[in-house]
Amino acid sequence: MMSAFAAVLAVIAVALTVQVTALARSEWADPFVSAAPQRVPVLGGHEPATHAWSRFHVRYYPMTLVFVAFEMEMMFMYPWAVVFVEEGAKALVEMGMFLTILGVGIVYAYKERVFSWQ
Amino acid sequence: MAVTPIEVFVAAGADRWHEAQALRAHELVRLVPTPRHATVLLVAGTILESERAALDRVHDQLPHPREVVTWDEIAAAVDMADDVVDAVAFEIVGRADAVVADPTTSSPTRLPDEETHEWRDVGPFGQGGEGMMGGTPYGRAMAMTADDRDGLRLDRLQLRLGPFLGQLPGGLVADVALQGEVIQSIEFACAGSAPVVTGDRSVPVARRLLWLSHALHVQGLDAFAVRAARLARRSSGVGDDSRLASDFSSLRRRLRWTGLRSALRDVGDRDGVDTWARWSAHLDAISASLDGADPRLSPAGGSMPITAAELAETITGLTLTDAVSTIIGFDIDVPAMTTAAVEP
Repeated sequence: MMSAFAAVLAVIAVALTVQVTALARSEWADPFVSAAPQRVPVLGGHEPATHAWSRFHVRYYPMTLVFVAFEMEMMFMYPWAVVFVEEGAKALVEMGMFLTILGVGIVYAYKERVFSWQ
Repeated sequence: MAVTPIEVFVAAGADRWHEAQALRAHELVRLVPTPRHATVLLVAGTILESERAALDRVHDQLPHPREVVTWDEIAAAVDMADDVVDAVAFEIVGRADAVVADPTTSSPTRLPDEETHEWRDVGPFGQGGEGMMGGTPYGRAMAMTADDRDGLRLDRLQLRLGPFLGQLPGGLVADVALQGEVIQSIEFACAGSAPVVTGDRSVPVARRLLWLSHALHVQGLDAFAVRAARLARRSSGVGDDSRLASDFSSLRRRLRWTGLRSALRDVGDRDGVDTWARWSAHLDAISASLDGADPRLSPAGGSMPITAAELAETITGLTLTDAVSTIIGFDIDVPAMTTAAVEP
């Protein structure tokens, strides 16, 4: 029992030694601590006037459109796959119609530039 | 024998910025886009008094060990313009090797080592405001929301870009207000009425090729940028280089397959001329010069003087990426811009 604890302690001791040695060595080996001007974001010479902590809009409407266009069809495709085995070509045609209607949504989203990065 | 190129950040004044691009052709050095990558800071050309602090800040942003090389000192000691690039490259390699071998000689920090802004303010995180809104974390004001073109309220970020930004021409300073990635307003810190852009056909072909080299680098086509810089060096060299024109046509043919056309088409449109059309005009001018035709007789299209205010108007509303492409597409004559700004 004691030997098991001793093994754990030994591992902890070795781990601590390695950590402390590495930290001490890096402190000793690197005489350069980054200076204040070095930590400023690179803008070509000037400092930013505003803080980098900035909020952006989630754009719920385009996100919903994209979700409906790409996610909902997948949701219906799994039960459809079962029906397709029984019904065959008829189910395929029906799914084709459904995808066409959703495809109109994708075309609309493309026209509204939902897919372009902004 | 393969050598590891030394990473160099160029802080060039407006007058030597084009010349410094020729270093792209050299296999011993590699121009990097930010000072954080670089071992050597290359200072080229005239640094205005107003740019002094900016240069010091860029210098301090190089990680240790770092070294500073001044182009003009080397250029003064060399006679031939063509040899300057070689001389500068060798100086860079020598100084970089020395400072890496003995890091204690690394160039010391120039600006005072103290935070320009007080970290602590009122509030639980020192942000100084109420909750998530407002306040001055790190002493810098938080961007506040403003209306934008989509009817959303996005934070409006104020940035002052330049004068030593890898993507923009040397010496160009732009005050930008960004919402998301879209430029809401931009102002160039220089005289608004100065005619700043040259599409002049009397521009030497070497300068045009150096422009092309930088422009290709900005578009992420670094291998082509190196080829263009090599052509520029050959074109300014002594003697008749008969294969120069055919090598340039081969470069131009290959550019067709890079997607450059679709990236630049319909970007920065002004009077029905977009950035791709401007590129084509530049490339046509280079072809014409290399073919020995009188450049003044070649069809116009590249000569479109534009004022700083007009340029600002053109790029307002573009994304930052498209705006940079547009500015580069104009091949701005920054010295004309800055001297106009200095004179009353």
